[in-house]
Amino acid sequence: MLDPTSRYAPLETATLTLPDGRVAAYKRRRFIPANTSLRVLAEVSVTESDRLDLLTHRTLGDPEHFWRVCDANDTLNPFDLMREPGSVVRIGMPEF
Amino acid sequence: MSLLGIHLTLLVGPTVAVPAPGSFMEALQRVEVTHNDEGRSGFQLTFGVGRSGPLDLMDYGLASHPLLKPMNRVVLVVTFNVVPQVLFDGIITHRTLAPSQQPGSSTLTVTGEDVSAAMDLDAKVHEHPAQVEPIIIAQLVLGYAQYGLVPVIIPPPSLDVPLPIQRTPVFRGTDYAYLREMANRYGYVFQVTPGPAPMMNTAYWGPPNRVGIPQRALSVNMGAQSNVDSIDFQYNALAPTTVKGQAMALGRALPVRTFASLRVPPLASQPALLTQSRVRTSLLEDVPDGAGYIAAQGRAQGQTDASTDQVLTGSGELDATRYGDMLRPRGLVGVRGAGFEHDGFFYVRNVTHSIRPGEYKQRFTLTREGAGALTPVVPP
Repeated sequence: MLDPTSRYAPLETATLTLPDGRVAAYKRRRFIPANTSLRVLAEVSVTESDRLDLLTHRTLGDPEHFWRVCDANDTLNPFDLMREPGSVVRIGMPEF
Repeated sequence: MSLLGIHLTLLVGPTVAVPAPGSFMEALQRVEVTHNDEGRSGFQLTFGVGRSGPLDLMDYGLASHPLLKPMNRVVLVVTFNVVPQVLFDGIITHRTLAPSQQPGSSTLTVTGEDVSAAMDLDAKVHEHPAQVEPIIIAQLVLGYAQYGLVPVIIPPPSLDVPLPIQRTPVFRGTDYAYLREMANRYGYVFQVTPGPAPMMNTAYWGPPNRVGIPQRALSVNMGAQSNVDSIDFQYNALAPTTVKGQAMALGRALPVRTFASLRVPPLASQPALLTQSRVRTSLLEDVPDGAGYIAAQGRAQGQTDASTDQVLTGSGELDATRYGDMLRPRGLVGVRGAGFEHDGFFYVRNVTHSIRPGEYKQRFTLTREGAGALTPVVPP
């Protein structure tokens, strides 16, 4: 039961039968897509008081899509992305 | 370029749909798409056409364009802020050219149906000895690979394997008609849903889908929170029907009787079949010769379930720019602000999208089996 905006929503749901016979459903591991074919929509410089959710809301319209910004910058930890003022954050063109 | 707001992308092509040229989008005046939970969905594109330059000497420009030929594939993609969603994937089946006496008001209207129209072209004699429905359905759907159909089949609770020495069911008609007929046996539906990516479709055969996360709530009369332009609710006391009859089991006739809808999850706290003082009763329709008691009971339950889908109906219109998402049929949606009797979760039966430059409206029909919300709160 994942929200449709979640990065895990399109992943395949697999099932595993536990030793005691119960069946557990789980999502397969998600890999960050390779950015070789990324179309860059914008490049934004980080300012002192900016936050990732605010930046996402400004550029992509919905703060819940912050993970798309992380994906475009090959960032595993969202907090690393906005740590250094002046660094450039790429905003990718969203795809299906 | 800002991506914020709602954008429409039109893809057309003979077998593979490609983004339409800019001249198409300039001429596009109106898009209307209807999604139904049963039956086929349809689309209509209205283009303004004219004969202004030397290129239009022979014909109205778009009317002779090879991309808009009948039986071509049309894919519509709507992007809400960032998320592209496939609105429609279909085939052009009708075209209307309306030349006008007034300059600038000639139109070319292109109408079509979803890709299941392609399954409804060739009538055949279907004969599948000793096979149960899920296997037959998978075989039929996989024959349409060029439409990117991915079958999703929910097997019915009881399956009756026809023994070849006793009987072999035969159906004369198109693949689509056969899929619908098999779905009707169990009160199920066969539906083709576009997406998740363009040129892909999901062929769903199973009970009407009521599970999953409810969509963004429809808020009525809630000040700045409202996203519904207008809505009305109708309660039909003549719709809920129980079924009784008899069927053969173990060499004797046993009664078949239904009492309540078995659709899960229930949506109403006062389901009409249980709370109404009188409900209609109908007789069991003919079951095929040789089909057993379980098949008869399944068909009776299917009739009862289908009748309760029409008890409480809500219909109205919303503004997509305020709602911010695409309301999809065949799922749940919450309604709030309409009072306890009419609030709560509903099954979305059909949605009509009406798009023109600067305006996007969605008209919808919601149903459920009775009045009264089941949850104290509807999340926004």
